[in-house]
Amino acid sequence: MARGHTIVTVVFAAMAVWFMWNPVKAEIPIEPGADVDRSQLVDGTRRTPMTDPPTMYLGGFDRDCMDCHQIFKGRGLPHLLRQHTDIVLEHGRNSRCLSCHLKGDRNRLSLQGDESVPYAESDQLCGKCHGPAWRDWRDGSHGRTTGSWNKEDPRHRRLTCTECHDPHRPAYPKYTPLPGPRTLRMGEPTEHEHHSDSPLMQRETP
Amino acid sequence: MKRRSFLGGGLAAASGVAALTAALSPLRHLNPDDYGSWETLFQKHYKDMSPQDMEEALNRIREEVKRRYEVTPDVRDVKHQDGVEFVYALNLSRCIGCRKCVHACVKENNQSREPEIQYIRVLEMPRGTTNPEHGDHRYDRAKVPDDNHFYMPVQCHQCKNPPCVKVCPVEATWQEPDGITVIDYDWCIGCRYCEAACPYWARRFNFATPKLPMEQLNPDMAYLSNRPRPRGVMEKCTFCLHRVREGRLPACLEACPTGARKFGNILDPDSEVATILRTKRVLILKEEAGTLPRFFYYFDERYPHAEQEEGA
Repeated sequence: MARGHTIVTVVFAAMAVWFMWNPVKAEIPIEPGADVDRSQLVDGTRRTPMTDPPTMYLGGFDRDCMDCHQIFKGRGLPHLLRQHTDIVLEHGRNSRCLSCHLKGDRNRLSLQGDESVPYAESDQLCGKCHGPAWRDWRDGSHGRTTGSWNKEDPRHRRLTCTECHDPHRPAYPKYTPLPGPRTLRMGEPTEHEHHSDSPLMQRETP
Repeated sequence: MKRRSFLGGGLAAASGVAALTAALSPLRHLNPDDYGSWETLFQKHYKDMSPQDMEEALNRIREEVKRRYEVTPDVRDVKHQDGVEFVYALNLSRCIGCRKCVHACVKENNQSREPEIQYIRVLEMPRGTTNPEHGDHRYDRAKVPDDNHFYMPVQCHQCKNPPCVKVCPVEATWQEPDGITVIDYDWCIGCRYCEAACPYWARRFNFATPKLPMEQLNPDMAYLSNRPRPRGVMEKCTFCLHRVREGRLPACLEACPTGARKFGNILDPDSEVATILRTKRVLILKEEAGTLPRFFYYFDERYPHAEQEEGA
């Protein structure tokens, strides 16, 4: 009995000394998350769409297309560009300026035959070739909606084709992804996680 | 009593007390933010609160946020609207895996940055499967999308038959009339049953006291959504309840650069989501779990010109 007491006493005393000198911290190894600033989350799209009619600030004035084009008329034949050389045209088989731009009035866009639309209704032109995408956009399953989910809300706005796609180069470029998770349960897989059968967390080993 | 047993017993008792003190010593490191106030302890359940109780609770939150973040938040109890049931639709043909939604969500909902908590997981999926177990959310590429994968973001599906709500032993989580499953952070006991029950891995636990830089706090907050959470409670996506109940769109949707995310009122037949569910090819993740999610994935048919443009 006394011997038992002594053993318990010694064990307790040893534990007390141990914990006094090595207090166990109630802390979890924590990694700070990736720091993403607001500019990386910009809500905006890739480009600013043109006004209707498009204007260019030149010689102290905002000028529209026809300010120049009524003087410099195209010769009607394909020729090398001397202006607008900054434009990269990568629009598939659609490789002629006047497929979209109206020859007679550069402030408008050409549809088919004699039909034309102002720049504000450019979706009509896009829909001429991209029928299914245009239909999906009209129905709301393609393209961005911003402000409000309620169509009657004044903040509700649907973005048009050229607010996301550059009409001269419509395919989306690849993006640099924002950093991946470093969360406690989602960061680098632990040995335990590799062998766990947790739903969604398993990963095929190559 | 013998002198020997007196000394032995006394020493044992003293050692025991010392060991107990040592064992409790980590409590000294607690700071007041780790445990709630008396008012929080005796606060009623969200559903039992009178308007006056709620005002008191909101005032307490304002004071706490002011003390910790030096900003007075616009915290309010946003109620649901009648005739509205929220549904989310995500276009798998358009998601490029850029993770902007993930980080926009973290900013909007005041999730902890250290340790990091994220509600959305973007799974990089190999072609030919929709089984999330084949997905990888840790992908690290210079550019996305990768040509041999597609991307499937997973977040709370706001189920109509939510397993997480069923398992909560204290009714700290429930489904609101507009379909959003919420948590009363002051009622949650942190047992994590809901985390285990969720087949979408949508619930997150605050293992440590959430930390976020003072200047990054979003002061636009609601009681049931993004107000600061204490340690030891669950949290989850609420479809940005404080935004959507006021007509706005969820932060993840606003951040999406490709328009892959769609949100709206399913009870309105003209809404975008109603049209999508009616006309598109729609997929329910883990349909066999019987959870009846309000989060749907959908596809576009291949647009005739797309292939040509990609090749150009």
